[in-house]
Amino acid sequence: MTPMMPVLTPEQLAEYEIETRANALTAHHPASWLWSEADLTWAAPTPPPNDGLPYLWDEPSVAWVHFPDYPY
Amino acid sequence: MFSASFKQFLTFVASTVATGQAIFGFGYVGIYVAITNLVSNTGVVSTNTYGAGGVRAYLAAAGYGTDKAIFGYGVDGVSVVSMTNLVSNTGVVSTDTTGVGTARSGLAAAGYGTDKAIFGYGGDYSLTNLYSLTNLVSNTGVVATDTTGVGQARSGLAAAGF
Repeated sequence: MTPMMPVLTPEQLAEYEIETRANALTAHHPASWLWSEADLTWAAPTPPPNDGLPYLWDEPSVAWVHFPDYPY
Repeated sequence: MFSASFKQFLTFVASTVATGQAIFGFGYVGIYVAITNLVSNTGVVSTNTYGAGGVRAYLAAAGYGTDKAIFGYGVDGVSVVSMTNLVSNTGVVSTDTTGVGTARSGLAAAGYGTDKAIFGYGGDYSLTNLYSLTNLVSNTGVVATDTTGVGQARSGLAAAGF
């Protein structure tokens, strides 16, 4: 916890946990993405390239594509 | 690719269609909140608007496109997140969008180029892990995957376009 982070009561924490899951579940996401209960988030059907360079999700091609103007 | 004069024209277009406004958003008031306050082009801060998105603090925000903004990442009360919220040119904050990249808080963001933005640095919830990685934001507000970091990993920093 950072020095600035507030200490939550058990009741507050429980409430936030419910809200967190609900917000993640209802969040906007590309249609092809799949819900991960383990990570509580929507995830692309294929992971992005693992080369440390930026990629954008392109839903029409259901693939990760290069970021515009980035010098690959 | 473009001539110098055309680039100048693009910069001129970007500066003239911007709304001249700003926005504060989210935070912690004893509980995490999704409150926003618009800032007019004369610097007057508006009263609270209560957002449709999830509550968060220790996030970052930047302008993108020519007249929009994006809030992203932060802490939602339980953990660090990579969620983002787009802001329209009328200051309306969208509901949450599923995040891309490493969830973190205490990061910074800024606009760059003529119409893009970048989130960078930050740490995990316990600050056990600090990051120097960055995430680019396209001119349509889509966040890219992590770009390998450069420089000292740290949180609690700030950023600005210039």
